[in-house]
Amino acid sequence: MRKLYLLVAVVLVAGMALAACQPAVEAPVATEAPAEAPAEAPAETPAEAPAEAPAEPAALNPYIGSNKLDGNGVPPTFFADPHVRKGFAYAFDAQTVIDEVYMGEAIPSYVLSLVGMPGYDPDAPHYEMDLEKAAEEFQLADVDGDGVPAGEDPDDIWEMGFRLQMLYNTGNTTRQIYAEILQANLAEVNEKFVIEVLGLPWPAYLTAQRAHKIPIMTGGWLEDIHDAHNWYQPYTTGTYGARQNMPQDLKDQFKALLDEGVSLVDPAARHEVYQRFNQLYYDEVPGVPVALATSHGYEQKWTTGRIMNPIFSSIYYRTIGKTADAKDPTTITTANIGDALTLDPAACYDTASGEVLQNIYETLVFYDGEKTDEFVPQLAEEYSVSEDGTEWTFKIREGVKFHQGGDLTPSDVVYSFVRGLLQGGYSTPQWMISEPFFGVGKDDISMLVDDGASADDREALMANDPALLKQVCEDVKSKFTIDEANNTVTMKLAQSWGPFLPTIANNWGSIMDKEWVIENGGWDDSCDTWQNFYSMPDSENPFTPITNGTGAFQLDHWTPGQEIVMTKFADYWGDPAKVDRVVLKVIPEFGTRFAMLQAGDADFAAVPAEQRAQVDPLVSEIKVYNAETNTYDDPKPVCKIDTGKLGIDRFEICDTPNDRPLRLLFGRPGLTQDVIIFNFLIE
Amino acid sequence: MTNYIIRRLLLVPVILFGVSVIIMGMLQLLGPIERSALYVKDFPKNDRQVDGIIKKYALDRPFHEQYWRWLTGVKDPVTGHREGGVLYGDFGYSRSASQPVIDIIRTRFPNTVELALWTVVPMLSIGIWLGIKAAVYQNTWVDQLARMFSIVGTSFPTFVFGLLVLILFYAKLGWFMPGKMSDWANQVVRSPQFVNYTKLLTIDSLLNGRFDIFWDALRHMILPILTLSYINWATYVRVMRSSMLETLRMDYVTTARAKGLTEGVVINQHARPNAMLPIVTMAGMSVVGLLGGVIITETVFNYPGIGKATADAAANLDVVTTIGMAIFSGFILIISNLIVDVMYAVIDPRVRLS
Repeated sequence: MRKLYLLVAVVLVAGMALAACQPAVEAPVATEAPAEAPAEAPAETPAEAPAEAPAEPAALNPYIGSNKLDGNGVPPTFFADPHVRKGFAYAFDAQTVIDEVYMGEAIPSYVLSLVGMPGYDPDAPHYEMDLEKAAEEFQLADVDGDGVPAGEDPDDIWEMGFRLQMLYNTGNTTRQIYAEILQANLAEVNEKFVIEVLGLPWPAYLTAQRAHKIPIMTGGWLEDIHDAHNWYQPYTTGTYGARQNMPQDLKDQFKALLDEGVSLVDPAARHEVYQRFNQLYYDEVPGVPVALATSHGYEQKWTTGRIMNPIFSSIYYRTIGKTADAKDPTTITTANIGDALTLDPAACYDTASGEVLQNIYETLVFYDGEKTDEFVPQLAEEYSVSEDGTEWTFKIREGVKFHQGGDLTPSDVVYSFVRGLLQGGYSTPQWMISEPFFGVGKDDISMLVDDGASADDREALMANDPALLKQVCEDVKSKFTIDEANNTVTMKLAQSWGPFLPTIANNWGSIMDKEWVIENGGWDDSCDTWQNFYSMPDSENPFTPITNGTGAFQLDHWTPGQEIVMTKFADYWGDPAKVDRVVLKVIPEFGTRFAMLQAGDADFAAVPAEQRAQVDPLVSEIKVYNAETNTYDDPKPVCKIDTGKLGIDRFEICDTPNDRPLRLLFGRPGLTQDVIIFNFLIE
Repeated sequence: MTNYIIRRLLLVPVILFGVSVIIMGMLQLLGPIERSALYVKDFPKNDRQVDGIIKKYALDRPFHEQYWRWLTGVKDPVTGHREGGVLYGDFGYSRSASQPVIDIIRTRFPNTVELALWTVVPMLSIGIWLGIKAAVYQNTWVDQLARMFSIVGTSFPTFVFGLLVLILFYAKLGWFMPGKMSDWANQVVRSPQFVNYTKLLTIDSLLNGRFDIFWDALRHMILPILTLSYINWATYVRVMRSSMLETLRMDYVTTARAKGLTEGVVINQHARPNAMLPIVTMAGMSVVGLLGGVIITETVFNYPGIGKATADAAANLDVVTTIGMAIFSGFILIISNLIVDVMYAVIDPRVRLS
């Protein structure tokens, strides 16, 4: 028995020692060795531990060296000087990024918005690598604030030099390369300019970002809505603007332009506003947009009909068929990297889940083929908007059936929207629907209840006055009116919203069957109970694993971590699917996905950019994107593949077909962009 | 012997408690903000999102509170309904696997067991056989070949060998496939006619009279079995060889030969059983390792065992799942070790359990 006590004591001491090392706890831990029963006696810590480690006022920021302008660091206001930012902008080399990282398959980004959007302007003012101009800018800078430019001031950066760390999240070799480019170029401008490149694991990277500690980093964004607002907002008044500690007056200038841009409906008018935005962004240079990668998607040659719309969450399967020579002509198999997280359209905010939802559920309008900014009716037969842009009316299609047997009615539409808005939650996409209905800046239902005090905190929300909660719910419901006679739904927005259709065309605008949701444990449409469903975590949400949509496919089963299988829905209202089954397999290992492509067991597979050189030799024919027609040209056979070359030159196009297995879709600008951003006030 | 077993079993909850405390303690070294990264799929769109997550999952409360919460769950004051609580059988919900932790174990552990069972036989039998041959024909070409064969095997990293074998036998030849079963077999297994007696696919398919599914399951398993075995053969060959060499020099072997017994009998009935003792320990350790989940093999061959689930959870900083799987693995390991120790005593009458 003595050995038992010894063992127990060792274990408890070890556990408590580790617990005492926790950053939140300050005082050392008092232990109490148990007399007998070893299974209890949790560690004793002092009564209350602060929620976060108290800031030590004298702590140095590890990423800016000495934290002073002494040649071995930078002061916290380093990037507040616009000449410094411009110096960095001139030192960055986007062309090398395009050639080395993307193998020539990217176009340089000059502005925040993307091709085809208001604000996109290939002739916009932008920075290109020019080391002489960079040197000039640095010499004009005045970091020590004494009124003398650095070129003439022996105590300023040109003579003293500086040292700071540029961070990237480990595993992201692309961002690592951006940092290394700046490191090399700045050293060339002035050998005393030292940039150290540091990789942090993502959680630590995120923490440092949030704490405003990172001096310079890359902020990447994948758009939610194909609209300029969804690009200009995050980098100024939104997420990244906050992380950059952007000064309030600059933010206000951007905000004025944002509000103007989003409230206009006419694309030409918006373009003019966003061009002013581009100019301000260029003049103040809070960030440097890098490049826009273009598509490089593989598919087996026996697949037909794929619509390669960049805003899709992966693949839309309804239109895809397989020719008779396919290995398994009735089933499509896709080898994905990751698994879905939730199948509740009101909560789903990731691509893997989104792929399933966009095939099982449907929205009021949908994208017209490969276009991201033109829409066709889907569950809404017709739609119209009022003169002032605040009222949208949708005529709901009749004769549409849900997978589990219900019929689509306008009340389903209203319920789906209201449920989403009331469920809210910042980890969901509901902020995009909340803003048009509640107003810019009111991005969650909690903003209407107590001004965001209970954001993501259901208990706090429920603690509010029940009458207030009921009123908020009634207000939300009152924004929707149903006209039974004409089968229409009218939605009243808080202000005119240019990108309203793109907002509701994506997964979070999916229509669910009200009766089915209520039957399966969802909100019962009563304004007395809505608060119980606010910010529902996936683990409690009954709709994480189950679906009931109107789409061409229905869910057969989801084995988490392994596969999701969808089968064709026989009573689909539109053109039915061309195959019987779709199997989405979760295969994190690239070698295995590649083997499946070679064996013909996968029709589509996820191929990261660095692995393209391995898969390209299997390409038999190529469809190249044509910017004028905004679609892909017809497939052409490829005779020779030279993986040493860049871009389209790798593929020698000819006339003689061959029997290699894959087809390649090439060259369409994608929807993710990286912007290098500066921290105005490093903490 | 019974006394010994009971005492060993009594230690199990203590060890499990210690394991859980240590793991949870180590995870506390990360701050609440860092641990909140688990619950966010991409970079958070709002800073408020991170605050909300910290509040929702109680990531900033003191260690003992978090541990107690994990152990006993949270009782809703209004309804009296208890949620969570390991002591009540709820290991929590795995964010990284989108299902309760218990379900991960329930659905994936039988696969790991199946793979372990099918791997043990070729791994041991061929390893032992080669070792014996190498010892008996010491310093001849048989010996050299056997040792070279196994050294090459042990020098290969698992994933390299796995991918090579995958490319050769699957992509090029198409004989064997990765994964657990083909899509058509999956449809049959999921249908109501198929009864899952043991959750081990190979056995269930035979019990259901579906020889085609049995063969399909085997074809999917052969590549991981081959990979796992080959990596381990070197160790078995070397140990068996040296153990056998030692045994062959023993006096009783000379006696046996002097008695006029054939060489075969001498080796197989007198030398081998004694030479096998170190192998038993190693075999026990190997089986324990296999049951803990072989992460790399499962990843390369997309085999749904518990190793990959645990690795995914750890990589995603999924506190709940990591601890749950660690507790479960600990439990399995302790029990397996106990069985190995007992078997040792059973096989060798000279060993006394203290």
